[in-house]
Amino acid sequence: MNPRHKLDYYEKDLKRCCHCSMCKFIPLIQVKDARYTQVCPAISQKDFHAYCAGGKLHAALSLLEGRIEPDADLLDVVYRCSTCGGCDVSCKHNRDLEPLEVLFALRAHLVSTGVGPLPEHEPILMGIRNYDNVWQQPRQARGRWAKDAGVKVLPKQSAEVLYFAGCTYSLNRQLTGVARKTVALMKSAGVDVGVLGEEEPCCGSPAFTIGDHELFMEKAAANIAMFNRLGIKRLVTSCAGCFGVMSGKYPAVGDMSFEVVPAVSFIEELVREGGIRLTHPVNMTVTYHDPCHLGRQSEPYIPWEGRELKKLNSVVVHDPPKEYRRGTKGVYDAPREVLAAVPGLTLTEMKRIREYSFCCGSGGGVKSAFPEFALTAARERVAEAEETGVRAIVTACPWCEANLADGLAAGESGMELFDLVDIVTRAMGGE
Amino acid sequence: MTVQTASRESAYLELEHIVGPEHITSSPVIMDSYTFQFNADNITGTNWGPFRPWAVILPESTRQVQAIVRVCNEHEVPFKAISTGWAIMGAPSCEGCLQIDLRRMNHIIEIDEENMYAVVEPYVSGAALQAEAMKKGLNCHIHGAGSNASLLANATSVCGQGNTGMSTSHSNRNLLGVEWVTPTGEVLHLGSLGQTGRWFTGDGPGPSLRGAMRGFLGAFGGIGVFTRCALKLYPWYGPREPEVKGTTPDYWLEGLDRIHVFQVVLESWDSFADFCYKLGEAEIAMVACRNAPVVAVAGVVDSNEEFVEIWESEYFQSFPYALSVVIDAGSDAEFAHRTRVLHDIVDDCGGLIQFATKTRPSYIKYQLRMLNWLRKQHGTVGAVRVLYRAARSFGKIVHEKGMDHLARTMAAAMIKAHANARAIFRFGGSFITTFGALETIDAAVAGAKRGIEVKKPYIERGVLMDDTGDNAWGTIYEQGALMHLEEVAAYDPSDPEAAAGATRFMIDAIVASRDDHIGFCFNGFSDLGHGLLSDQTSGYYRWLAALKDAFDPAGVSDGGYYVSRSEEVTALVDGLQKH
Ligand code: SF4
Ligand code: SF4
Repeated sequence: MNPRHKLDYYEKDLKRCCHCSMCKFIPLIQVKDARYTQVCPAISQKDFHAYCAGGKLHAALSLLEGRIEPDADLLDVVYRCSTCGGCDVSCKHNRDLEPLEVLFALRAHLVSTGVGPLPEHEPILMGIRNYDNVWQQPRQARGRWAKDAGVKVLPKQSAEVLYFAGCTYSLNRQLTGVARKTVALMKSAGVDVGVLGEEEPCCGSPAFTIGDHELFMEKAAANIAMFNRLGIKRLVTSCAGCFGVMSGKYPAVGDMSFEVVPAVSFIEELVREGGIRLTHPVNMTVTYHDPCHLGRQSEPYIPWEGRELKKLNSVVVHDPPKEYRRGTKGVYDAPREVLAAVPGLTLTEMKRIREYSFCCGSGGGVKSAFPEFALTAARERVAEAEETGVRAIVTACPWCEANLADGLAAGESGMELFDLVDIVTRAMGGE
Repeated sequence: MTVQTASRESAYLELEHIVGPEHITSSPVIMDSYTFQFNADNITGTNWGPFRPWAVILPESTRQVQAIVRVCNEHEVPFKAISTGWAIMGAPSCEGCLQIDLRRMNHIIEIDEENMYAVVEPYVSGAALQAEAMKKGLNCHIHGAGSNASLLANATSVCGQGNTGMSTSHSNRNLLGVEWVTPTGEVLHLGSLGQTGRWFTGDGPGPSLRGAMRGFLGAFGGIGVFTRCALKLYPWYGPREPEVKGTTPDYWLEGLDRIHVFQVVLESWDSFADFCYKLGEAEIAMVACRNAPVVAVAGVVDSNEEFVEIWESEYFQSFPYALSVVIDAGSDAEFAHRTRVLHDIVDDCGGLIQFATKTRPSYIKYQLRMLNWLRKQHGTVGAVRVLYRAARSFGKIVHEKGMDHLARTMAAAMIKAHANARAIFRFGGSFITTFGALETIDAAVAGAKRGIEVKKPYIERGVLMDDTGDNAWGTIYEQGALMHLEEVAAYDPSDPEAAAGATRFMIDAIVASRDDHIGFCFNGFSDLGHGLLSDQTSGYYRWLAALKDAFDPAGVSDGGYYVSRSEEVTALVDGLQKH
C-alpha cells in the first residue's frame, strides 16, 4: 500500500488537530448568511462531533491508540461522509494538516483490516472487479451510447483526443445524452476524437473513496498503461469523479504521457478559440453547482517526498518545502466562463460556491449506503439554489446530477436541472 | 461526587425520552470525539482529557435542557454543557459525566436594530451573527478564539476578549438579558428579561445575577446551562454585505472605503503605553490590537517555510512595540479627521506607521525613522544585513502582493476574526496563554514584560516556541478604559515534554502575576488556579464555592474547571499553601 494511504502516516496530524471545528464551517470570512455557515453535510445531519472531519481524526487516533474497538458506530461515523473535502479546504484555511487524506486513510485502514466497507459498498467493488463498472452492467453495454455517434473507436483506430465517458454517463440512460452531446460538439469543432467503446474501463475512483486501495491501485496502474499505449495527447472526460481521480490521484501511481482535461475546460477552450460558436439565445436564469470532484478535489496532484523538521523549537517545516493542496486550483472558472458566453443566460451564484461549495451529498459511497443522507444533502443544496430565484441548476457531474434530480423531485420548486453541455448544445442551436 | 451507577440505565432512558434516541448516545467513538480536546495535554500529557463522557446529548430547546438537568439531579448524574466546544475546559472533569452538546440550539432569535442588540442561542458563531448584523449596519464583538466559536459561551461562561475591543468592549460586558437553566433545573431570566420580558439590559430593571452566574472569569460550564442571551451590538460603517475577494488562505474584503488599517510602531514599551492612552482618549479607533512580531509575520505568510525565512531576517523583531489600529468613520469628513488625529498622536509619541491601507508619500519620514531605529539596534552593518534579508524574504511577498494588499488582509482579519487560529496554531499545533488581566494600560504592559522573562527559560529548554519570549497579544477596551495583554506560548502537543513544559510555564506565570501584582491573571480557574491566586485576592474562591454550593446543592453541574464545593476547595487550597 502507498504509505500515504496508511493511517499511521498521519499520526502527527491526528495529534495536532486542535478541535477548532473550522472543518464544520465554510471559511469563516465567506459566511454571508447565518443560514449558510455549514460546509459539512455529515455533521449538518448527525450533529455529534464525531461526524465532522475533526471528530473523524479523533476517531482515527483513538483507533490507532487502541482506545476504541472497531464497531458499527465507527463504521457509521466513517462512512456517513461524502468525502467531499469541504472540511479540508476550511481546515487548511488556517492549518497545515491533511484531514481529507486522513478520512481516506481511515477507510483504507478499515478495509485492509477487514472491518470495512459497508455491505452496501460490496456490489460497487464487485462491479469494478468483475465488469469494470460500478453499475454491474455487462461490459458490452458500456459502448452502446456511442454506437450511432459516428466516432472513432480506439484502439482499433487512433485519435489525438480520447473522450472518456465514465461508468455513469455510459450506463445511466437518463444521462447518456451528456456523453453523446459532448462528442457531437467536439466533432463539430473538428476535434480528432475517439472513444473506447466497450473497452472503456472504470477509473477506479469509487474503490479509492470506499477504501479498497488495492483495487484502486490495480485499476489506476492498468488504466495509465493502457492510456499511454493509445498514444493520445489528451483525455477528455465529462465525469467529475473520473477527472478528480485522474488529476489528483493517478500521477502518484504512474507516469502519464497524456493530459487529462475536464470536458468543461475543453468546451471553454473551444468557445474561447472559436471552435464552437454560441449564437442561439438561451433565455434563462441559472445557478451553478460546483461538483466537489471537479472543484476542490480535482486540484492537481503535487508530489512531495521529504522529511519534517522543527525550527524555533516547535514550528514544523518540510525539507524540501511542501506545497499543500488547499482546493483553490480546481476547475471553477471554466464552467462560469462558458455560461457567461451563452447569449441570454444569466448566472446568479449561491452563497456557498467554488472551493467552499456545499456538496450535493452523493459521493464517498453514501448514495448507496445512506440514501436518506444523500437526499437530505441534496435538498439542502436545492434550497440554497431556490433562494437565488433562478429557473435552473447547472452542473457538470453525473453523480451530482442524479442526486440533485432526486432532491428536486422531493420538493416542489419546479426548478430544472441541466448539465453544462445541455446548455452549450442549445446555445449552438441544438436540442 | 460519587456516581450512583444503579440508576444510570433509567436515567439514560429518561434522557432518551426527552430528546429522542437519535440525539443521545454513549458510543465509544463518539465519546472519544468529545474527550479529545486542545490543552488536554496540559493535564494528562496526551490529546485526551482525563474523563470520557458517560453519554452525549443534543437538546434543541430550553425546555429540553431543563428536563435534562432535572433528570441529572434526580439520578445524580454530573453534566457539562458545551456549545462550539473548544479547549479542555469544555470537556468533563469527572467520571460519568453527561456532555450536553448545544449544537442544535443555533438560532439568532432576533436582532433589535433600534436598541442595538441581538438575542442568540448557544451555537450561534461570531461569523453567523456578524454577517446578519452587518446587513443592518451593525457589528458584534468577536472574542479572540475567532468567529468559529460561540458568542453566548464567551459572554456567559468565559472571559472573551477580541480584536475590536477598542470599540466593542469585551464579551462579558456585552452581555445583556440572559436565560439560565440553573444546576437544579430552574429557568431564570436575568436583567430586563426577568422584569419586562425584553432583553435590553443585563442588570436592573430585573434581577442582576451577573456576579453569581459568571463573575469576572466565567464558570466554564460549572454553574448550569445558559440557553439564550442578548448581546450588545455596535455601529458598522462598512458595506452591508462586504464582498470577499481572493481565495483561501488569502481572502480580503472589498469596499472598506472608510475602514483603514494602520500598523503603528513605537520605540519602547513606555511610548507604546503612552500611545495607547492617547489613542483611547481621542476615541477615533475601531481597533487597537497588539500583535507580537511573531503573529504579525504569521499574518502575512502562506506557509511555515515562508514564516521561518522572514523571521530569521530579524526585521519584524526589530519593531516589537507595534499596534494594529483600524480607523472607521461614518462620513468622509469624519474619516479624514480621525486619520489626521491618528497621525498627530503617532508623531506626538515619536512613533511611525509601518504600513497602512493606502500608503502615502508622507510616509517617507516614517521610513527614515525606521532606518534610524534599525541602526540603533543593530549598528549600520547589522541594519543593512537585516534589511537585505528582509528584502529577500518579506520583500518577495510585498512585491507579489503589494503592501496595500497586506494591509487589507490585516483589516479583514481584525474585523472578521476568521484567521485567529492560523496566527497561533501554525507554530506547533497548540498553545497556552497566561497573564491577561483586564487592567490599566500600564498594568497590561507590565504583564507583557514579565511574560517575556517567565517564558525565556522554557524557550531555552526547547519546549516552547522560540518567539524571543514576546507573544503578548491583546487590545485596548472601551477607548482606553482597560487593556489586556496575554502572553501566548506555542508548542507541539504531539511532544509530551513540550506539553508538560507548557503547563509548568503557565503555573510559573500565575505565580509571577500574583507576586508582581500584575492583576488578576485569567488562568484563575479551577481549584488549582484559585489556590495559586488566593493569597492576594481575599480568598475570593470561598465566595465562588459558596455560590456553587447554593446554586448546585446536588453538585451535579460539573465544576472541575470552575470551583469545587466549599469543603473540597478549601482543603485543596490549604494544602497548596502549605507547599
Ligand atoms: S480537522 Fe482541522 S479544522 Fe477540523 S478540528 Fe481539526 S484542526 Fe480544526
Ligand atoms: S468530507 Fe465532506 S462530509 Fe466528510 S467530513 Fe469532510 S466536509 Fe464532512
